[in-house]
Amino acid sequence: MNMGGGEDYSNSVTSETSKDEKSEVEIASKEEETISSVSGLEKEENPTENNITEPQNVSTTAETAPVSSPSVEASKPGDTTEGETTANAAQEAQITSQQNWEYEQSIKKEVEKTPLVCLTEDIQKLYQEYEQGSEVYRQKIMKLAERHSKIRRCRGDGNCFYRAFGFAWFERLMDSKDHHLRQSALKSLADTLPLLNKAGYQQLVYQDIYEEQVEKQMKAVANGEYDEAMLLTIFQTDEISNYIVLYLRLITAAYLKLHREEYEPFLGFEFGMDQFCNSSVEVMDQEADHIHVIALTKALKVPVEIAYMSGSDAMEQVNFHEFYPDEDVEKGTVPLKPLVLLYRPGHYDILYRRE
Amino acid sequence: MYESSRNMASTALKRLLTEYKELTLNAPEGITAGPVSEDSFFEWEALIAGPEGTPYEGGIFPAVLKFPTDYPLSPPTMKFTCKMFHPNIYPDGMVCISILHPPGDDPNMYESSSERWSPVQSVEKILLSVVSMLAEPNDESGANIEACKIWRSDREEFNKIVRDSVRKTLGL
Repeated sequence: MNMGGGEDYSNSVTSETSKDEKSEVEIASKEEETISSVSGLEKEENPTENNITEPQNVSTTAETAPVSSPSVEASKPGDTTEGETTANAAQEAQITSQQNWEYEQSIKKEVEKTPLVCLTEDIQKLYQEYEQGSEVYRQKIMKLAERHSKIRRCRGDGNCFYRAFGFAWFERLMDSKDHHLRQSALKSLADTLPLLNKAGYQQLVYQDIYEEQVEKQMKAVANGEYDEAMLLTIFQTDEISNYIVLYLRLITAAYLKLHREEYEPFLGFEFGMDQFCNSSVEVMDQEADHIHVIALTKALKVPVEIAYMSGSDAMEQVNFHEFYPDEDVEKGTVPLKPLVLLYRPGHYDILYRRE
Repeated sequence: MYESSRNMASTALKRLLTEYKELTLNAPEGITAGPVSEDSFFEWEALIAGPEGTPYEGGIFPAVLKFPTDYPLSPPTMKFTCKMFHPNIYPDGMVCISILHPPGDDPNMYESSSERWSPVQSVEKILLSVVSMLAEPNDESGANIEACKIWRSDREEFNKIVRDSVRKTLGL
């Protein structure tokens, strides 16, 4: 049932039993949203704000991964996020909003130095990143290294979940060489067209991207035309990679819109699903949360396991959250091995299990 | 590098062609739009009729839309090429409206509830939003301070200025 997940599953989330656990996670992040909307901040700034409030921790390092950490920037926004009084909250929110925007522009340049998807690195490289940093992280990486050998970083541009998902999925199909598996992936992909239509998207929004980017690349993978280097090139090429990301975003949004009664309760009070999709799903560079991950894995029927590494809890184990599309998959009718991603606050990378 | 930007543009070009076809077949009332010339699909001219029951009524307003090569990942810009007196239009004609900005790209502090740019928007949706904007200015995100002030404090004066400038654009 854990499909090779193995260790430390006391906290793992399986799609069947754990609706409530998921809710808790969602609600936790919802509370943050409510707080910031009270002070007049906009929803879409939250991911950034969350990053900024803990720059002394890890998020800055995580976001700009291989680039040396910009300590000057880290200290600046940190000053403004605490000690707001209600009297001038609105005014301060405006300042914060402006600063956030400038801050985002400045890190954008740094971030662009990382390729969209990188070569794999030994997991020890990840350890080295924290040699000067948190002991908790080092312990967790040691634990992670027992069963994972490599990491593949993705650019921290807000699209990393979708890009990591896309690459890992294509790569898994490429490596499997299983005809049946590849055909069923092509079918899942084709099934997204009626999904998008049903969700009310105009054909002009998705048809060309589907035919000329996503399906075309998937077919090349299915026909065995690509090796790892070629796949990497594809995902490093802006115009292909970004349209694949966009298509995955559209699928995510369509799934959420079509299951709105189920997921709307997890949004902030002031957000309807359409508005949420407009501001946090359909548009490039907006980060993915729990709810996006659930939607995309269900829509494409691709199982994903995510290792959550945060410095906040002291346990040395790493919690894996399982996103399995439905029971059929857990029973093994679709034999795709789950994709494995690493989550550090604000950022996703790809992990590789030891054989 | 050249190859790569050309490919990017080809996706954008295809999308613009589709949108143009769609707009010619089912143009919303009071709006026409299309490429300036066949050589440059990345620059469009639009004509917008002033909405009825507003001081802009009777006017026909030309504007230019410029599309980036990664359209629709990024939004176009829109600039009126005639004189426009409106709280959300800069004195140089540049339109300041939330649908032309993705969330996060927020120099104007739009309200969180306002519709933003995303790749599922379109030229048609932009132009329809601009028509509503003419009918109902949004004084939260002012682009023309003078117009904002008068619109807020003296509606009759505002309407008069607009009607005068409409008459001028029509050459009356």
